[in-house]
Amino acid sequence: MRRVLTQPKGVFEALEEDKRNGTKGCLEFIVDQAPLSREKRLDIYANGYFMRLLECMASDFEVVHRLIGPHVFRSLVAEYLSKHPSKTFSIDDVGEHFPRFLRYSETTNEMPWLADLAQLEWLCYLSIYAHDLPGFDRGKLAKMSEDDWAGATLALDSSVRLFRSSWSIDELWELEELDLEQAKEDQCRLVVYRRNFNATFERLEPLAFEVLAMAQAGFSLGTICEKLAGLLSPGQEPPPLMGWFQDWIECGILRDVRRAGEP
Amino acid sequence: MAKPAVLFPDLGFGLGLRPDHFAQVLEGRPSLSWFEIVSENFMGEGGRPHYVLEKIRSQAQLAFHGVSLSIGSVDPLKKDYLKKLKALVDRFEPAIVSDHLCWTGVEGVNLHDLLPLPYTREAVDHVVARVSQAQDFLKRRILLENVSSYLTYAHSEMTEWEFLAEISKRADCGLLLDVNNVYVSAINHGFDPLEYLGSMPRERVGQVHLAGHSTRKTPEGKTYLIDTHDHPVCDEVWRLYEWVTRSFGPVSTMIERDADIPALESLEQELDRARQIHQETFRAKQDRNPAPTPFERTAVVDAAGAHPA
Repeated sequence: MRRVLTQPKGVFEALEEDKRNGTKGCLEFIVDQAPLSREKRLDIYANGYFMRLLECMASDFEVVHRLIGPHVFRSLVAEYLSKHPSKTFSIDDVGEHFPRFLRYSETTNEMPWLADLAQLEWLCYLSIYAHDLPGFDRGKLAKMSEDDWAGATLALDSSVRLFRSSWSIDELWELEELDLEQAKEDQCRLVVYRRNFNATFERLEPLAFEVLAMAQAGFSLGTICEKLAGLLSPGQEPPPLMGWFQDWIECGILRDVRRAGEP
Repeated sequence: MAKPAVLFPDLGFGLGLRPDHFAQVLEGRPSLSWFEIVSENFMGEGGRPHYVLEKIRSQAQLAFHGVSLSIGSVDPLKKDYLKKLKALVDRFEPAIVSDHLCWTGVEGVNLHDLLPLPYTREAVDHVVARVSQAQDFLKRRILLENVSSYLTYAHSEMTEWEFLAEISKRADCGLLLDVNNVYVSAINHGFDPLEYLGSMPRERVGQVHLAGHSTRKTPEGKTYLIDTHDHPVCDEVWRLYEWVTRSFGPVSTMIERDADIPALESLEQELDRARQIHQETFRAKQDRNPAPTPFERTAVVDAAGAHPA
């Protein structure tokens, strides 16, 4: 019955296929009773299954849906669900593998950036429901001695996701309709985070992105500074680290500075 | 004969909480005694859902209504799901925890739909064991909702209402009686909704759902109903609710709306109708005791209006 209800070609085709293959179908278990045929009764469930998941994915991947249009989106979702049937108890998680699916889909060959766009939407979804952390305690900073700084680590908000794309994904995100010429190859580095309960993202300059990536990986401030120095070109001005930290505290990206050994 | 003691508190009249109404509800409008949430929508780690729930918990009672327990499936109960549900229940202490008497998936795949079970003795045994397992884990009694259905199985050995009653008694769980679902299934399968409602063990009915549905026609012009929750409660369901109120006494009642969600005020108006039915019923009851017996059911229904099914 599950196979019949989730068949992308529909219940009627699935039942026909059973007949052709001589497979024992589920039809004989269904009571044949007016006002509906047994096939139609199964079809109500099959239709509900697909429409429910389609609606959910159109909401989770709103930008992808808008840019490729409802028809292409619908056909991609049908193909996706046949390869990745939902195994999660929350319907909202059904699109977990969609970005990866798009990366290898022949339908989207002309849009190599689409998978990245879907990935960004998925990161926004994850960011929204990340666990809550207390706000930054500025008083704690004042209590840190000079000796503490080199070994200290930066704790980012649990909603922070770092995303690197080879396309101008942030510009594509803003498009009202698809314009393939707008898709430019570009080293786009984004930080996704939650602000006022909504997911948002910002483009970062490469060095700022590296600092956040190193902080997320748990490197100490001393190590981050050393590695950062190694990334600078000869004669390049040192980056405005303190300014970045200030901004990241303000917008909730940076949640804590922990002394070495502090949990 | 003394009336059996009810197992669940009467919370009064509530609404299904939906994101469209978060802001208004947080501002204390409307001032309702309870709200029902869909448990799975609040199982994330954090963010707005938990904030909203914290706030609402401080001003009203909560009921948690799940859609993924899949109590009838032959797959083992999902431990990770139960753990998340328990964490949510322990944190927010809802007055009621419910799910559906159905299966939602099999072989690890979730169909995200509420599929009916075969009404067999084997299925009763299977569900009773799983309800006990879930209740032991959650350390509380749960309620199971009757689902609307579009098919029944040839090997069923009893009616849906006998199945529901048997499970609730043997598993010692509660029932969430969805009056609209009874009506939808009655039209789709051709049974008498009053026979269904009259067979419910009163003491186990802890909550009532009222909702709307969509009417469809077959190519031959025959009517069938889809439980879409996108319309106001229809007159036939209101009449059945009147019957439930007269027969069962006060039960926590709420309006459930999941699509084409109207302004909160519109749902409040529907809730007012439920309140009015409740008030009129109990005014009338005070005038003429005793409560209706099974033999009086027909008369009560006739007074409320003949039912098309």
